[in-house]
Amino acid sequence: MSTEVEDSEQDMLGVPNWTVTETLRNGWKACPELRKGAGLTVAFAFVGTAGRLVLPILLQRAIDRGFKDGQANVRLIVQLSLIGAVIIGLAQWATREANLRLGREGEHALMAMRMRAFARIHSLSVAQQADFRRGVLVARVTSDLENVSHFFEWGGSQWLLDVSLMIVTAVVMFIYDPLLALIVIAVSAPLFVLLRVLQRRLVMAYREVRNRNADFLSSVSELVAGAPVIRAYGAQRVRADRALATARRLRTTSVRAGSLSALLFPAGEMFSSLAVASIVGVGVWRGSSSDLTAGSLIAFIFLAYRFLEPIGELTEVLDNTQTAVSGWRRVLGLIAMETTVPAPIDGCDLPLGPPSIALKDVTFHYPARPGDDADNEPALRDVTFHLEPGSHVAVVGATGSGKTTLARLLTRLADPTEGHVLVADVDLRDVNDASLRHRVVLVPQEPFLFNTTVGDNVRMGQADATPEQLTAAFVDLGLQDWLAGLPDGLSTSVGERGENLSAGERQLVALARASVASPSCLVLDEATSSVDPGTEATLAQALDRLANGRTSVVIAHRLSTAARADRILVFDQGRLVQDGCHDELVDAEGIYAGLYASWLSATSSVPGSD
Amino acid sequence: MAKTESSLRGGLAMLWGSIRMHPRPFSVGIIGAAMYAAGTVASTRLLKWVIDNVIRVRFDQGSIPTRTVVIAAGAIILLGTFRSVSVILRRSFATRGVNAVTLTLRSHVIEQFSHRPIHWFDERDTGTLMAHAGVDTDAVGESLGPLPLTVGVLFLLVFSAASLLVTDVVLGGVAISMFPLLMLVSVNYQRSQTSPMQRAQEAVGDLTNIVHESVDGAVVVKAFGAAALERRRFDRQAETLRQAKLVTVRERARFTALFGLIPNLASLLLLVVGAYRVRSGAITLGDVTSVLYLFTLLVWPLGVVGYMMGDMTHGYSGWVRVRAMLDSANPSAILPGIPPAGEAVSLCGVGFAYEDGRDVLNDVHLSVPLGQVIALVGATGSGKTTLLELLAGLRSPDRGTVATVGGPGRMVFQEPFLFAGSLLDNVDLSGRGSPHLVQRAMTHAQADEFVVDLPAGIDTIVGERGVTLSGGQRQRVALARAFASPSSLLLVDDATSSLDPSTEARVLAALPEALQGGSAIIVASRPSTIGLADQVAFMEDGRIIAFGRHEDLLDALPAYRDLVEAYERDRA
Repeated sequence: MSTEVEDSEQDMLGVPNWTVTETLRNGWKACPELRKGAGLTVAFAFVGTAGRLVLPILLQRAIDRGFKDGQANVRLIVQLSLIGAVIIGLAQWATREANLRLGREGEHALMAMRMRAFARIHSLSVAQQADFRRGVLVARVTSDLENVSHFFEWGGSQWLLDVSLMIVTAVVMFIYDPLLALIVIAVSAPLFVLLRVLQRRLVMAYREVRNRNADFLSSVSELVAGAPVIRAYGAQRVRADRALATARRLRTTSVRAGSLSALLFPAGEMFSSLAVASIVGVGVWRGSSSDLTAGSLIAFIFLAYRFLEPIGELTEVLDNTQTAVSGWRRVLGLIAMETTVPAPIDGCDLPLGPPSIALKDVTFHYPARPGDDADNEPALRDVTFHLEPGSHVAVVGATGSGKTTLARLLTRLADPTEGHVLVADVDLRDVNDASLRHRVVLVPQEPFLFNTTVGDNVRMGQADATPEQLTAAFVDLGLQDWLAGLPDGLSTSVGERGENLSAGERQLVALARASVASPSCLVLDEATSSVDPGTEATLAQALDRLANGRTSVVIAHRLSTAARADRILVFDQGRLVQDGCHDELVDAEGIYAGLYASWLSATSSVPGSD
Repeated sequence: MAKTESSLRGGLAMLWGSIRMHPRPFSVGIIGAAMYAAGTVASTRLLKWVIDNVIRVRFDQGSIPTRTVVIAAGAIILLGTFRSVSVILRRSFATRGVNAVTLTLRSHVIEQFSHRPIHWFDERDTGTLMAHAGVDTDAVGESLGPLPLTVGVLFLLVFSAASLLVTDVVLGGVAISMFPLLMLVSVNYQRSQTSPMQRAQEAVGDLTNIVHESVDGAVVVKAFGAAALERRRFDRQAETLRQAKLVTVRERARFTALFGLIPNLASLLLLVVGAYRVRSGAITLGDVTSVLYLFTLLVWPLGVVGYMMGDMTHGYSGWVRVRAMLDSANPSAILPGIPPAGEAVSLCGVGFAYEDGRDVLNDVHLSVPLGQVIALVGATGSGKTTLLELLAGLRSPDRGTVATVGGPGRMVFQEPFLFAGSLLDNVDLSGRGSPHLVQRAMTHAQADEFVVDLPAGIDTIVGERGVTLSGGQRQRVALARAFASPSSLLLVDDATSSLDPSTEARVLAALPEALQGGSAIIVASRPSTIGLADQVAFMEDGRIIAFGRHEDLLDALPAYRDLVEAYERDRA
């Protein structure tokens, strides 16, 4: 009945195939913060165990010397207790230090890992980022690391203190009586084997719980996000039943995991009663023939309890530990990823002024994703062209023709699989990143706005821009009226993902952002979303002004944009198939003329005019 | 303080409400816990007997019958087994009880989410709603889980107190006086942790928001070389989070130390008091040892229970949130009226305003003859989408009457929403369509052409985990969904915006056949779409200000002409 549960392949992207030991070893190596002072932390933990061993040892002394022949030597017992109290105090101080150090260094290491992982995300190429399922990259620096953090808070401390306690208790038992100690350990041996077996199944069971929980949450989130569709199609019952089924499956797996851990938990208890029975039996059988005393025999009962007590506690942190290890593995995997667009060593700067742009025999394959079928067609093949400095070029083609890929190559969000992308006759792979981002700016299709003000969003183009410069950017694009119409001008809050603005207005902000960056070359991936005609005209005008004096490449989704360009490149299935100005292409037989005709008919106000 | 008391009472109400929901598993769990308590106390009595009658006899007098030793060892094992079984019983039935309660709550939440009207969703943010299904119910479960344990510990305390007092009033009294102290430490810890933990949780939330935004905008960040800026923003928040965590680390370290210190010191005190009592001849060494042993066994349950009682407030607030949502009044279903004969749609004096007071529709009148295709034209914000939502029965008008033929209309939304599942499931949402009907709908929506290229055709899994479809493909699936769902009235809200012009033209050309004599209202901006309609309804500021043939409106209304021709001007 052991059902192997696999995380979806997409989610395992970049996650190394390490065992627990390998993960710990690699994590240890990758985390200098963790290594610092670790020895001292362990030493404190060992000293701290003394606090829990004082009672049995004291009891032995008291019984053998303090309670002679049914009489109690109170003075001796009080003296012993005072010494014990001091030891307990010291031990608890050491325990506190151990926990503090573990927590402090743990958090320090986590923060460092977090920062490294976040930096890594932004250094990955766009294609690599896109390979991750939405939310997975976020999870790497948040929930995956939080799982590790919970471990430092709970499981880690438990392991450290409990394992030290077991080791020290075993040593004390051996000092008292090696034979009884061996008996306790021999009796407990099967427990460790049993735990090992059950632990694997428990880990599996909890993983299944997490997977079912994810299914449940995603089915519920569809009920919320899809509420209008569900109602418009009367699918309430069908969708509710599906969600209920996921809730029931979650219940079944949770009960299974809970029952398994219910079996595991009292194992320590069971075995400690076996151990105590053996101690009493063997101890009484041997009697005072050896140096065994009544006191040490009774102390042994307490020691056996101390030795096996941690096991119940440790079974409680198994899941916590496993989750932390897999979280850590994921984060380490991300940090170890190499970007497919590496920065050049001693890269050169791009010259000032509008550059020429050229592609030489460029072919581009997206890397095969796990789970994809084998037929991975190149997104671009054998593309060669040369654009004059300061020219305005539009790129046209159907969905999947390679337009967006071209925009990515021109701005080095990806490197070509074969061939070269040259800007001002320099291969982009040799240009240092700062210069590239300064000279060549991409306005992506989705003009992503951050949840802050209009001004701050524009300032992304140039971090030190003054409010005057920001306003000037709008004025340059002829957007002063639009800006003036905003409730708080530059300080207007755009909302989450810019939802306070319309799709067209978000585009305007994106153009202003590009303008303030004052690049010498502009690559614009036109948005597809429909914009109302008024904004459409404003956008077109702003775009023309932005392109003015720069080399510009527009990935055009509207043929009206293409018609205004100096030159049009037409792509079909990854190939450059036509190249010329609007009038030439309209007259020529080919894809462009066809696209133009259907666009013309779609936007004609007189029915049947085509 | 008053707040704590009321939430304690609330916590008890939550416990009681949950037990009443599923009494059986909790009862069995509590029986297991009581067995455990009895077994624990019995084991200390057994220890006393073993020390006084086996160990002391052997070591003081030199010999003991083998039978006695065997009985002692057997009794220890038997009692250990009894306690283990009782723990298994308690824990496995506690799990069953907790999961039964969370399933019940989740089922209620699911029913609510499936049947509440959409304006109910408008007023709430997704995060809060998801929390009702997720973290809130989890919190209830987490605080219910230890319920049998808690009840068991109460048993344990009573049994132990009795056993201690029977052993010796003085020594027992001293031991019992330690109980509240231990519980107090752990309750106090729990309280002191609450707000630092909340702060840490908030810091995690803020960090997550930053990462979400940064990852979503990764292309922009890269295009503008703003990674360093983003890193700075992130690092600041990571540091804030660390500081918040350090507070909880310090608290926890303090508590762990305190919780180790107090019982161990208390044991020493018990040893000293025990020594006095032995000297005065009141008790035996076995008594002292068994009291110490019992005390050792009690430390963990006392600590845990104090913690759990403190933690109950956490679960209670989840309970309150979920209950408040479940108990709030559920408005009746919205059913549009029946229009006069020969009409597909009849709107009379319809007005609608959103909860936040935004007036969207005002005195809307419209009569659509059966079988006609109407283009709904208007600038952004003129109320087109809201009007369609009224016709789809998704919202009810504040004023006036909405009547549609054959029940609410089928709406195709501007943003296509696909469910995780197969394409077939997405097209045939209600699960009642025939393969033929689905196939025809796919063809009409021009969806079949890309579906045949997919690895598993119409059974291809879409959504987050599966094939990612392009915007245009998603729109075509949404259209197929509408075509596959027979209705006398189709409502299309600018649902072809991501299609390239030639595909759009083919979809529109197939529309009359897909409608099968039904009527349609289509929000349109492209002249070719408008040209396809029998008549045009022109909206401005929440009113339909004109209704008639496209050519007539072009001649009569300059505002209409301006809007429609904006595309053509742009073309020049």
